[in-house]
Amino acid sequence: MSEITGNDQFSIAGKILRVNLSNGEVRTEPSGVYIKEWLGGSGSAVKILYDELRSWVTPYEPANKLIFSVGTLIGTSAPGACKMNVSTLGPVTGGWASSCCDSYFGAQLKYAGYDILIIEGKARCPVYLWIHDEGKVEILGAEKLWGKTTWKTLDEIRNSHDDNNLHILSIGPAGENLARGACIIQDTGRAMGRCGTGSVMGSKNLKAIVARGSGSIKIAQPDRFLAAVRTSRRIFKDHPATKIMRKYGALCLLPPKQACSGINFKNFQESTFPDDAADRLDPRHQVDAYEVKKQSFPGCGLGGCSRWLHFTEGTYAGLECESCQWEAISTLQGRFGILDEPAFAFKANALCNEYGLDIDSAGGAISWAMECYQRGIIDETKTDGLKIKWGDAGVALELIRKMAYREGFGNILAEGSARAAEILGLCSDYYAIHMKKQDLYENIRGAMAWGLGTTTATRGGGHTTGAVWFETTGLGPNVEKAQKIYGVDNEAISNPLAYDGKAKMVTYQEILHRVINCLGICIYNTITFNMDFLDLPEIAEFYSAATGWETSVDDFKKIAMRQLNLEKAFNLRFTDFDRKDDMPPSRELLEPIATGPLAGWAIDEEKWNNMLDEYYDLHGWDRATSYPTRETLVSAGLDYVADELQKIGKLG
Amino acid sequence: MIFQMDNCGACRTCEIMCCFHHTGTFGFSTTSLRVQENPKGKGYLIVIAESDGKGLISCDACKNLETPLCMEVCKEAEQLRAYIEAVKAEQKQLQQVAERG
Repeated sequence: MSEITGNDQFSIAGKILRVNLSNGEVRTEPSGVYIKEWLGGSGSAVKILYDELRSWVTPYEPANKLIFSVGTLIGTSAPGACKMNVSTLGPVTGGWASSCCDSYFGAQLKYAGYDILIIEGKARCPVYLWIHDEGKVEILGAEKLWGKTTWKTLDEIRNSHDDNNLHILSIGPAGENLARGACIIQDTGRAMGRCGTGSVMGSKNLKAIVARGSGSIKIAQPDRFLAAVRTSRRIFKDHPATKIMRKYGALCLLPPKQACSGINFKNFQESTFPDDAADRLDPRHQVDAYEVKKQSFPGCGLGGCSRWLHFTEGTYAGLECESCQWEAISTLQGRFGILDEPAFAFKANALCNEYGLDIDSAGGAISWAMECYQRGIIDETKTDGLKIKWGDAGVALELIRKMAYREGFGNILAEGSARAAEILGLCSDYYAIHMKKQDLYENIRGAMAWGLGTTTATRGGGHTTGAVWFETTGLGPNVEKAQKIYGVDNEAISNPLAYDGKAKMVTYQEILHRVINCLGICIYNTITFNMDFLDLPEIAEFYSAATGWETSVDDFKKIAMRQLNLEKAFNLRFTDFDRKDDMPPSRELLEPIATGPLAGWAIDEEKWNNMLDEYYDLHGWDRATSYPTRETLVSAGLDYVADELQKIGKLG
Repeated sequence: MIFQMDNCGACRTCEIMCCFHHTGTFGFSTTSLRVQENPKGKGYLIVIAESDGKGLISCDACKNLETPLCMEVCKEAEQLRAYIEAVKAEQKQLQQVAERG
């Protein structure tokens, strides 16, 4: 790849920063070509990790690398441009691990001069990184921070640097104790949640990364960029969806999720809240009662969808925290069957943030245990004396703490439900609901394009790399536009239960998600959330103007597919994943929906398999194994990958 | 001048747009306004510079543009407009005093 340097660098800082914690070496190299050819973000990261991690590397050893990438449009006024990404060889699936989050930190890292930060090796004792001003990098002792929650860590770092505006990434006790589902927290309430990247950071004895930059970002074609951004921002102005998001954020989603039987209740045993509890549990009531301040992230086209809450009464009186996402309502409140504490999800979400524990990992493992307890597979003799009944908020919070500290029964739960079931045995694996060993959050039944995009995700479930959201959040009136964008007919767009056309919809979504994840654009600013919002053509226009790299929608498609094929190859190198690992968990595949408007509906396994066949055909992957063919890899510019997969017998 | 903006969410996009107005680049380094924590009340404090100093440069209300760039990206644009106009009025008054003196 040829270098891009100096005056050719627009919209990017221009440098990769490599920090080797084993020997303290700090070096830089140009980032431009990685970003131009791979879009930055997870795209650049998969290229670097694939090329640099040998097949014998395991997640927790020093040879693993942790790559933080700032979205390519972060630091500019592009709508929603605030996301950054972390990627690594992950300890949950054993393969591709990648997660994004909103951040203030990302812009600071970029203004300090770095688009990509690669952490190598392992420090001998706890450290944190201080990256500041024009790119100076210091590796500082973190012994006094080790053991502290992420919230306390932020306070201590701000105090010790005498700067209340510092933004950080940190791990909490969960990452320090290598809980598999440990995550990395930005400040206090945004998480690079999935895939256990927090435990990789903990394995390197890296407690936190702090950045403050004094630089700035150039734009290649300023007039064109500003015009494109203005046009895009007009889309959000006065839109009804903007108003709702500003008021409640994703917490507005209870009604549509209830209507499509899309809520996780008692470990997917049921798919809705009980009718007589749904209104009481609607999180909008908590927002109305306890909001104290709005919260927005850089560039947001909606003007921000989050808020700070201060609970002044009830069981959690005194709690001050950022509001949670809808995900917490399903994966914690519903999943544990908690009906008597409407604010539980906020408390549990805050606790997970403090400990640096992914809420879906907590939800999956604890609800597995609750179901095992329900069914008499385990009793108090196995659970440190705790009666882990559905609906017990206190026990759930205690189990979250135990997971973070790997204490007693929590030590098994910290492995995630899939591995916990292997450890326990007793046929408990049926109740471990996971994809590729990562605890599953998404209901698969009832929404086929949402489900297919989730089950085929290379990082092990998740709905931000291919799942079609409107099947569970509501499509709205723009049906024709959706048909045109996804290239399918009215039946495919309008009927979440249909199978035809869904593979095509997921394929488009995989491309859109990768583009926005790499550029750093928030999903809620795009058609993923509302069909009137940003799509690839608008994004291509302001991306081209910002970077000076003229990029069409077709270019985006080619690059995104190249990324996806490399993620797939990464998994094939490090895991034994094949077609079986793209199938829904047994409960989702075999059981009919028990409650709600879709009660009685079940996945048709033959039709699901036909849909999966079509998905593989569209990707140029072998139907029987899911392996990419040589032809597919060569046309993606990945000839050398085809050679490697052939050597290990995994070419389609 | 410092204003309290109750519904500000501290995205700070206004700051980077202001920097763009002054320098043609996006950053926090050269700006006329700063969003700060409001420890005593709701929302955030918006500092708009009437003159150069304390790391800020004087706000000129984007005089050659129809709409100040900060307002283009702020959902509370009209409130921001009121603050900017207050700053401009203050600057004008100070200038008149200086001219008389």
